[in-house]
Amino acid sequence: MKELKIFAILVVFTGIVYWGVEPYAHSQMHEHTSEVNFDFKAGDIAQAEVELKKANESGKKDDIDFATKKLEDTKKLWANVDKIASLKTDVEAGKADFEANCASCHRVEFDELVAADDGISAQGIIYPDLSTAGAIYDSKFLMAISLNPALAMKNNKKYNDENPHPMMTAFLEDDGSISDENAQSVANIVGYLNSIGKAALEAKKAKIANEINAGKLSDSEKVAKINFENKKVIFEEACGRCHDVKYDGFIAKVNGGDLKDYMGSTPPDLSIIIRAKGDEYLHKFINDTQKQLPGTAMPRVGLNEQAQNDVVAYLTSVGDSKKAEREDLGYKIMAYFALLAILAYAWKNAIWKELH
Amino acid sequence: MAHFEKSNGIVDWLDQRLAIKKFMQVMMTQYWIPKKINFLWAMGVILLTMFAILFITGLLLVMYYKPDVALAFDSVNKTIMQEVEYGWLWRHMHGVAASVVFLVMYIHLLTGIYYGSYKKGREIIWISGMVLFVLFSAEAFSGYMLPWGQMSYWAAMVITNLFGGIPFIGPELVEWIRGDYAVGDATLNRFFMLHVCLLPIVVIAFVAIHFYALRFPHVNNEIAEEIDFDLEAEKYLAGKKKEAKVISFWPDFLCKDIFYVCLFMIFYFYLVCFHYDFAMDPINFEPANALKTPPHIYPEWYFLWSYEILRGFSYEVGLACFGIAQVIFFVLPFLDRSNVVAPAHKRGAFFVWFWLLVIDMIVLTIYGKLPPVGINNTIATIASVTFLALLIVVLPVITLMERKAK
Repeated sequence: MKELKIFAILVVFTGIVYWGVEPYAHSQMHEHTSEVNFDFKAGDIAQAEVELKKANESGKKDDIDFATKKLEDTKKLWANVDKIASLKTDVEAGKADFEANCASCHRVEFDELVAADDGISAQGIIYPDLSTAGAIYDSKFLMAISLNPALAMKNNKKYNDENPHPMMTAFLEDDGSISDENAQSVANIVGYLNSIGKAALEAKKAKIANEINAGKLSDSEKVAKINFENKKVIFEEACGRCHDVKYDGFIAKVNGGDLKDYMGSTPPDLSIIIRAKGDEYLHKFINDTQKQLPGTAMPRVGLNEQAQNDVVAYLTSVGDSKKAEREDLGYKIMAYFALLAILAYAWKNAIWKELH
Repeated sequence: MAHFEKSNGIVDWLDQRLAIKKFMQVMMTQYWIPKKINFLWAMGVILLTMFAILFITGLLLVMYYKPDVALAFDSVNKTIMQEVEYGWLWRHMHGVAASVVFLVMYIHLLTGIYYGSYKKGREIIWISGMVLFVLFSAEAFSGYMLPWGQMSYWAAMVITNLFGGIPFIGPELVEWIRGDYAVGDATLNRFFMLHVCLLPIVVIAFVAIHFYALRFPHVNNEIAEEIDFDLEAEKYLAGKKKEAKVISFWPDFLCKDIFYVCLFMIFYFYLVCFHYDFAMDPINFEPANALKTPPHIYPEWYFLWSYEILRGFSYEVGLACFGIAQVIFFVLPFLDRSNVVAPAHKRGAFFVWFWLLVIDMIVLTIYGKLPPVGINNTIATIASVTFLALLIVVLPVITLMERKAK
């Protein structure tokens, strides 16, 4: 039928325009980056190799030197982490090691380690309370950050020998290796954090659930709210020191001006970041900030897979809060017009019987 | 004073005062449309439906939107999208319709070119249609600014800057349009006024003119046959509907169009509810930031072809060509030198010309979004030159040849 032929031509040309303006343009404008990888060792080394390759292509000596050193340091760092990870841990000794090495800045309120002053550093930045760290961060990342925070968090461009990272550690020898004694210490500290992390997180969640259950919502609303808040907790712990989510009434714990001085730029509000960046981008970005956005001030925070999924789920439920309603209504409206089209077609036939 | 009789009902009462029966005849039941048309002739009614949707959803959105640089972004993305009941629906319907309306407009426009509907006697229909296209462009652009996202802001920056290229008065003109030295609150407020007040009024006026302009030369048909509408109408009214080459606008024509509109609505609401982002640049979900330029600045898809003509040449030349591209379709009836009114597939060279034009515009559209680097620049220049040559040189030449051959 001729009309169908015309329609097919229309669809083909519209399809070509759509393909060119959307998927094709997208593939040309954004560099392809590798998939999310929670094997941080493999991911970091692969990324450092990509950066070195790019530096070699650019031919700039400073960039090549920087990238060469970064690859070397990255390999060294993760070799040390492997050594630590192979050790047996002693949780009791870990608590003592934590008190000796970390507790002057970091609190672990869940275990009543509150010696550090309420966590304001000289730059106005709160040192994170590490009660839940063992549950939301990758264990090997925690080991890496204890050895070389700048490299583990990927802000080594900013922090170097002249401008040391505010998180001071002294587990490594001058040549970048780690002594057996220090390796055991780090293993114990991470073991200790792991031993309390889950319980600390569950305690927080239980407290919120109790409050919600005591409220006046219906049962299904309570379930939905608890589900939402459980994800929000992870967000607060992982991102809430720096990022606002205004549309959920959430304000970052650290003052924006201080953050700007410290980070170099004000961390964006994340209310609708899911719509600005999309699910895939956010997963890749959180997993490895430098890979998606080289030079960004945002450190890689080292979330484990579960925590990262929770963070993105929280951002989705805030930024796209009407998704369920939208899709549910979508089917109904489309069904309505399909029905109407059938009726309209019958009516048209009735009228055109006289015309043809 | 005229004589009024006691009415026998509300219709009669109104008829005596407003001649509604006559009005319905003129506008609907005795407004004759050729019988031999295909679904492409339904685009006008689909456009009207889209415009009605834009108008109504726009009114609902204006109830909550705040034209203030400090409030605009959140009033759209928080108040309307999250707090107002079904605010997301109105917003998506408005945003998606704004984009889809251009798709339908392009189909409508190309249909007119393909079937020669811009020719001989139908020039005013064509020109008023082109005025509507330009008005819709201005309407779309002024509306795009309102959420005050990153792309809104930078698009406003780039587009207003274009006027700076006009000789002598450029810089002052830019300042006058913006109402400030840079795009800011004053700019947002005046674009708000244009979008919700002045432009819609002018659009409605031109929709009326466009529709009215059809009354005299009548609607074209699939084979561009010259029909004696009075004669055919007599047949129709005499009950010989099968024989008559015309049908009435209501219900004959509209009953078919309503069916097409229903089908179109399924597609439209699929986009609204499941794929709203096809037309919304994600960068626009970041608030406007005058200190941070987005990595790529490009207009919405429907402006890409003319944007690419702008980029296809050096700045001044590009600006001039862009200006020409904006108005070239207005004079299409006069660039076509042939008096043959027929569908393109009956016009030989014109048929080839038509498809070259379509392909060239698609190339311009696709490359209009890609970064202007390397080979992309070359393609931009070639496609832009081709576009201008097709309209200014090739069309007059092939149509002159067509006239001589007759």
